[in-house]
Amino acid sequence: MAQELTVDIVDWGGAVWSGTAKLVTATTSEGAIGLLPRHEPLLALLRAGEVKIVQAAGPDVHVGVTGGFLSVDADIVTVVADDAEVLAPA
Amino acid sequence: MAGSQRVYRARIKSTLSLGKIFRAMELIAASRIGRARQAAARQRPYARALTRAVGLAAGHIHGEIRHPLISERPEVKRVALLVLAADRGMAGAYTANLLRAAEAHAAELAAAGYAVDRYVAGRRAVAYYEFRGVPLRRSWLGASDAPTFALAKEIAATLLAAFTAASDMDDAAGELHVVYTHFKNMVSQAPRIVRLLPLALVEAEDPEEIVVLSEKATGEKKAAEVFPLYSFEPSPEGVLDALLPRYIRSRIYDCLLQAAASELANRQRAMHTATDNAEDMVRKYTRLANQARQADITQEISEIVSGADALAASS
Repeated sequence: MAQELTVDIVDWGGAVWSGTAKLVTATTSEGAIGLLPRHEPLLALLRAGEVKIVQAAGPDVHVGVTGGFLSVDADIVTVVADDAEVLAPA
Repeated sequence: MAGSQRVYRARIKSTLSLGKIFRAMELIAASRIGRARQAAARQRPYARALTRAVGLAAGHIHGEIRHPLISERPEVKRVALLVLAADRGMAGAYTANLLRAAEAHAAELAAAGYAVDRYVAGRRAVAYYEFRGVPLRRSWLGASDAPTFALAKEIAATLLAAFTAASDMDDAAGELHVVYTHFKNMVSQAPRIVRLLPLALVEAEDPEEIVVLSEKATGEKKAAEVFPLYSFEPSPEGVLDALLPRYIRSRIYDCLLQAAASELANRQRAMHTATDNAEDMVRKYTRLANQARQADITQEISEIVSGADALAASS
């Protein structure tokens, strides 16, 4: 069964992006992290950088964040950024 | 007598144009309330995620949680009072009510032996304090009906700096209280005082559940939730460290938005009343003008009749 991650990216001004993904990569305070379905519950601080969302169908989404944190729980990924912006596809 | 007719007509004209201005201001306020409430709604997912994460991190720290933003500072007998008021009047008793609540609270604090440092947003409140010669630590002007997140950031940074300052510093504060107008709904807004710092971490009643954040003065407890075991990067303490200032910032932003929505609702109501009053005055002056015109006509007729009578009598 192909499981997917539910991803919500919010900043103080509201939801920036939401959808499903098969892989999410981000830069935390400890280094790069890749999140696949069935990841253990995690709460990590983000460094300024890029969150990449690999969708099952459709192009990758790149979101620039200026810091914040992300939480993973039961295949729900919530990225809470100080400021986030969907970058134009590279 | 023709003179009084002219005076009434002029009054009707000016009152009509005032009424139009009041009506326009009412409509502007109404549309801006929508904007402030939308901003508050947009911020809600962020605030919720933040509150949950703070609860999570706090729940995973074993033993006593030590953090400068949670610890009481009994040695600092000084309270920072953040007053969020309006930049402009024309909002009925909005700022007056708020300032009354703020000053009553400040008097209580003073009676309890605390020094009060006032941090004020809103030109009306600044003018009030300046007129009375009350010193202000810091004031922010010009954004009371459309607060930005940048403003919340700045206010939060200022107050966090005061709260974490060494206790012998002259601007150090042991507590932070916020006085703002709570936006309950369109017809009901009331001043509210919240103790924002130090944050109180409240143990949930069920030990299996996790510590939740609460704010003392309001007496509101956020519902406890059972969380699974998490791992943290870099560590629960490190995460908490980064989240608490953000939590304060988000709370201040929420207070600013509520104050803005309340201000605009008050202004809308005040302008609605003013429009109604203007209409009443136009009605009253129209009646008086008609009366004056009628009196003029009656007088003219009686002059003609008495003139004719006099001619008839003399011939």
